[in-house]
Amino acid sequence: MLDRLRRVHHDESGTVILVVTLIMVALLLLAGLVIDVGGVRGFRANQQSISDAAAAAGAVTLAETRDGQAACNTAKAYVISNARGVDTLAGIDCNTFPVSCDADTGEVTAVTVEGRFTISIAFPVADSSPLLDSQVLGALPQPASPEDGHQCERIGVSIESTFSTTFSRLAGIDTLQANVHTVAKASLAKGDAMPVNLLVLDRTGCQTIRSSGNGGIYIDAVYDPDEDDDPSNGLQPLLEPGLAASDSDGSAGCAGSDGVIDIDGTNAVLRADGPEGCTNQTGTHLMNGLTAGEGCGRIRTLAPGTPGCNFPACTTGGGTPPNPEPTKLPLRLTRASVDYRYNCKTDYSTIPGSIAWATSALTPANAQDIPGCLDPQATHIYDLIATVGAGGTPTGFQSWTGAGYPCTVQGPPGTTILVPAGNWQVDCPAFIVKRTVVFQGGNVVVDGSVDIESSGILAVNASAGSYAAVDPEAWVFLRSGLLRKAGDAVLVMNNTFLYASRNAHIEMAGGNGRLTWVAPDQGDFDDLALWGDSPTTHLWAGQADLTLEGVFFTPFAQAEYAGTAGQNQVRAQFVARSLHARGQGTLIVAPEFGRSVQFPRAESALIR
Amino acid sequence: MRPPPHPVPSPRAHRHLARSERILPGDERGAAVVEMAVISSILMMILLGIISFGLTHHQNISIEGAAREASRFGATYPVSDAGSLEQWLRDVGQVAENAATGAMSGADPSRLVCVAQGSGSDEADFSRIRVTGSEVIGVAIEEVGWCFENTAPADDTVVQVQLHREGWIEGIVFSMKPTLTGEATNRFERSET
Repeated sequence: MLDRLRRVHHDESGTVILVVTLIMVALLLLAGLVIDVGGVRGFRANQQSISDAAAAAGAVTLAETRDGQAACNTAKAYVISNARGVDTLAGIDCNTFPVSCDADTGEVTAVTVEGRFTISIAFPVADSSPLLDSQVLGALPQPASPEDGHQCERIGVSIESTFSTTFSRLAGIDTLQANVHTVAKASLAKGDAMPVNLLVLDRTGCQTIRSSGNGGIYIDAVYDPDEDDDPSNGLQPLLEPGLAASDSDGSAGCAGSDGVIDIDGTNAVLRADGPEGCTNQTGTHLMNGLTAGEGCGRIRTLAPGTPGCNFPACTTGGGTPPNPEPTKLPLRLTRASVDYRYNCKTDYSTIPGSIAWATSALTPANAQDIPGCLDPQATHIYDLIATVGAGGTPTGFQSWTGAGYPCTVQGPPGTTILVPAGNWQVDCPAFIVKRTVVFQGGNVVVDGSVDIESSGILAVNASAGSYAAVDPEAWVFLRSGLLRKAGDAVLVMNNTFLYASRNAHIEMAGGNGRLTWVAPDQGDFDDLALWGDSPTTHLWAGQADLTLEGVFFTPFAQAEYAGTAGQNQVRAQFVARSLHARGQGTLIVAPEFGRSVQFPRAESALIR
Repeated sequence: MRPPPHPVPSPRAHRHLARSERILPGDERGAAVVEMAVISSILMMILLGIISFGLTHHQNISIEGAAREASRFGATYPVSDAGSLEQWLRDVGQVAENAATGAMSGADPSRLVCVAQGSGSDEADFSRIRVTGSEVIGVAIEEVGWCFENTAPADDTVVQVQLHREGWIEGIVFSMKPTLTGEATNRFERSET
């Protein structure tokens, strides 16, 4: 018996199988676990990409519309596009999200389970939202910072899912959890922005950018004195591509040979320039020492028919086809950027009663259906209108006639009125300048028309004699009537912003005179030369001596340029309802980057 | 091991027995080698299977990740930086190939790299490049069409990236060639208005 036991004890048959089996089981479990963990890591990375794509797309919609419902719908669409097994996300009701948003709007989160995913979308993402807490292992808390923007600029997407294991089941691990989230921030009218030389705001009309006769519109490259793509070079001057854009979809009135962009003269031209080196460059010229390529800029319109010059986006009836070819503007640029900078308010759908006397009524073609402006609320334009009012002498102003000055300035040649520095109300039904008037600093309110006749000189914020600038900022307020400059007359407005009410417009005849109109260099109206609320066409023309600098904003009216001079360098940015160059007018629109309103590139930033 | 007791055999029978002794049922000398050989081959098969499965799995993850990475790259890459849409499509395709860390390079006849940009539900509104097999992305020609059906909102310009190739799982007694596909759609953010 003892012997048998000893034999059994020493019997090693089957040991190898046992050992190998045990090792194999362990090895297989380990290999399976490695494959499963690797799988879940890869799955999680892909899930993060899906979440990023959805949040980024939603943020772009936010940038365009500030509409939480639209942003939610976009985010949903990109989850469906990218996540396998997710087809409808019917459980997420985007109608529960706020259409408009401000600092007091509460965070709304919609959650649904579809397939193996639990998907949620959140808007707005409050500073205190757990979505803004970094959940990366070992990461320090990451509280909301100013770089994270306003809560209404943020949208969050989170995806939680259960990853079914393959091999780890043998070890009793059936599922692994993969949770990710993304918060994307919309870029709204600030941040990475682009210059726009010419923007026409008419939403439906035809011939919004028009060159006829021998008229030429040249959209020059935009000189940016302290920008460079390569930070290692330090800040160096750079040329940005010039851009002419039309917000019109061509849905009203386009027929026959009339396009939204319309070149219909013998020698009519529309050309946009940019940094040299593009494929369709037709020539070069120097701009502040940098070489601009002619035809290297951009021409955009919302109307169908692009790329190329095709109806209704573009027509050419004589003259030179636009260079470069117009391409599709993906979304309206709108006047929002100008409004946000100078008249920032939460709601643009209505005009307050106290302001209505000054500004044109909103129609479908000029509707300001733009999202409300986020903080800070600074309604400089409305404040100015309210301060000046529709009539009477504003507080702090002196009456022109009360001080004994005439409404018609005339007399022998050399007659000059040097107006002392201070704020003046020109309380004349018609202010006719046949000789010289120099306002030596301060602001001016004009009740009626201003007519500068051929022999007349009107200088604002100017010194006697040389008409050099006095103060860095000043403004002129036209309550009603026409500001007219005869061809040979002189109008100098140094560092001056001009507000023209709905009843006032501008007519600058071309000739041998001088027109100097430079926007303020500081203050509430920094860089803004003109804000015109009239629907009546404003006329511009070539001058022997022309200096226009700053932003010329006439959202309800056409700007018409009929020059006599050959080449006119205009360092201005035009934002008008439409623009027409005709006759011999050659308008070169070349704003400086730092003296123009920047328009946003609608885009997103992934911040968590 | 003790041999079992038996009667004394003739010398011839003894030689015969001596030979047959070695193959008697109870004699397990060398059995470990045989067992090891049998089991090792099974083990090797399984290990080979695991390794090739792991490699294919890794390729699949790389391809899916590369499609999404390239798509995201394209979403924020201005066409003007590329010079032309054709070059833009090639650049995005090259990023996809590079991001796949080898899983999409080579001359595999099943290889497909497709990059498209466009909007809406009409394939004619898309531009794409497609390279298959040993074709080179750098010389791909722009053509009309999408890589796969677009379900994103019609107003959005989107970037599509599709990567495709066959994997290979080899277990000696069995062999599989699963299709590895990576697809991604991102909204194009550099509309360059």
